[in-house]
Amino acid sequence: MANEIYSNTWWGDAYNTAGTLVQNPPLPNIEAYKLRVIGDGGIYEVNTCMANLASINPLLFDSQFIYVDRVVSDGGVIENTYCLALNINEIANL
Amino acid sequence: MATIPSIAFIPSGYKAGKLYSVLPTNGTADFDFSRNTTATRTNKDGLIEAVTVNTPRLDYPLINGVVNGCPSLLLEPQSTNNLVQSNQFNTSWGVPNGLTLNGNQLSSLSGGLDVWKLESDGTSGFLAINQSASVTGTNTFSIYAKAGTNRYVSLRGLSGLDVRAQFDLINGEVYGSSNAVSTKINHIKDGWYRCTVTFDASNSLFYIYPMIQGVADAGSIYIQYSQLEAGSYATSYIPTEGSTTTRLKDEGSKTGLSADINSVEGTLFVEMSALVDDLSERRLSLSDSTSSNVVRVGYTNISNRIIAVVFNGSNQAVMTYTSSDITVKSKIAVKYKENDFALWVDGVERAIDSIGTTFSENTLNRIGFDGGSGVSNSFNKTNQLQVFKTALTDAELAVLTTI
Repeated sequence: MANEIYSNTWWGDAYNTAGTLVQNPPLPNIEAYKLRVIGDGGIYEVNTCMANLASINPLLFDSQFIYVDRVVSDGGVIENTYCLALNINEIANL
Repeated sequence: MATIPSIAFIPSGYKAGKLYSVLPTNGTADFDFSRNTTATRTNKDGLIEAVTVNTPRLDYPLINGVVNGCPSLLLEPQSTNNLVQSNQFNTSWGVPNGLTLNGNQLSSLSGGLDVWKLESDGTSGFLAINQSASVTGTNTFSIYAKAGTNRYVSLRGLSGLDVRAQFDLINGEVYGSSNAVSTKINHIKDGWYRCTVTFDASNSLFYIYPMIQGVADAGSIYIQYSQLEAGSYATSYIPTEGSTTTRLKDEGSKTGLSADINSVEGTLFVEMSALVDDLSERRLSLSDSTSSNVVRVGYTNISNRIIAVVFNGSNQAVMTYTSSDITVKSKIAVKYKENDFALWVDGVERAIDSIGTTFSENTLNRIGFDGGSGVSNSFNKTNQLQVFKTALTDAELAVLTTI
């Protein structure tokens, strides 16, 4: 079992029709990450995010990481990781 | 430092028999899930999809035919489709002269080619396919339909009471009805609508017309996925092939959580919407695995009423709020602490109770989509669920529950 964060740029850049960079990432105070989880069923990749406010408990990010790893390793299915990340950040901002 | 819930469930990870909770990370609060039949859901591509036995359903919202937003956990009651052929319209359905049925049409709502074209030659306004099915009481008859060269579909039930409903498949409106308890038309996608008529009668024959019933109109419509079920609303599609078919209820709970639930004080938070405002008891709870010690929140027998109750042998707090529409998603939190109880809905403190006790330590050990012991199931769409081991402050509750 091995996990890694190998990119923090998955969100990419967003441009308006005039070609001007308008947002990256699309939510304020959010950092984007791509996770790679290697479970028994193979490699599973997930795009995710976390709040970068100093007051945020980094355990929340670890929790999401562990969660994805745990579900995949247990033979479960993960859907809508964007919503997962969004809701976890809601928790983080409480 | 942020206030971290001890239990956090966000519909995202699942397998047969299990719903994964994000917190705690050791998995102790992963829900046991059961529904010992297959079922259907709207998947991430906006398609109706079959789901295997005991597999939870993450159901995606469609707005103007496109998946828009995060999925919810779909929890439905048991229901039976009393039509023996729900989508094989050339079998078990009577087809009169003047009507033509052609299968394998269009790309269907499930992504296949199981759409039927129903075409009238215009010789009569009473040309309809029909199937026998004896039902009594409150029932709901539904069909997915799309305009072809004709723009209307009509549904009819006969024998005890002549129940009629007509739907405009271009404007997405109910055109008219008679003897119906209610009628409804919901846009699904790509011009497809689910047309529904609810009635209260003993009826035994059910008709689908590709026109306004009684108005001879040559032309066609497209149909798929018919359903006739007890109750006041159409539940998720239940396919039948030769016999009536029952989808059992969805159930989820987890015990052994005394370390994750504070019995003395805490907060239970849920983001959810009701499937219907049918005045039934639908509860979500923290409990001692019985209904004798319970913190619960849910819907009750008063229209659009949200209720939170703390009960430890007697009611310690009963707090209510009447929403404008419980079928619209709400964020609801109940705070419990000795002489300090509150119900928050959508960012506002809606009710308080300042007198009452809670529970001895380690009393509460179970979380369930029910009233505490497997009854009064929480049939709804759940978007997230959190349990905190403290009675949150008003500021925290406002942030937590604001939509």
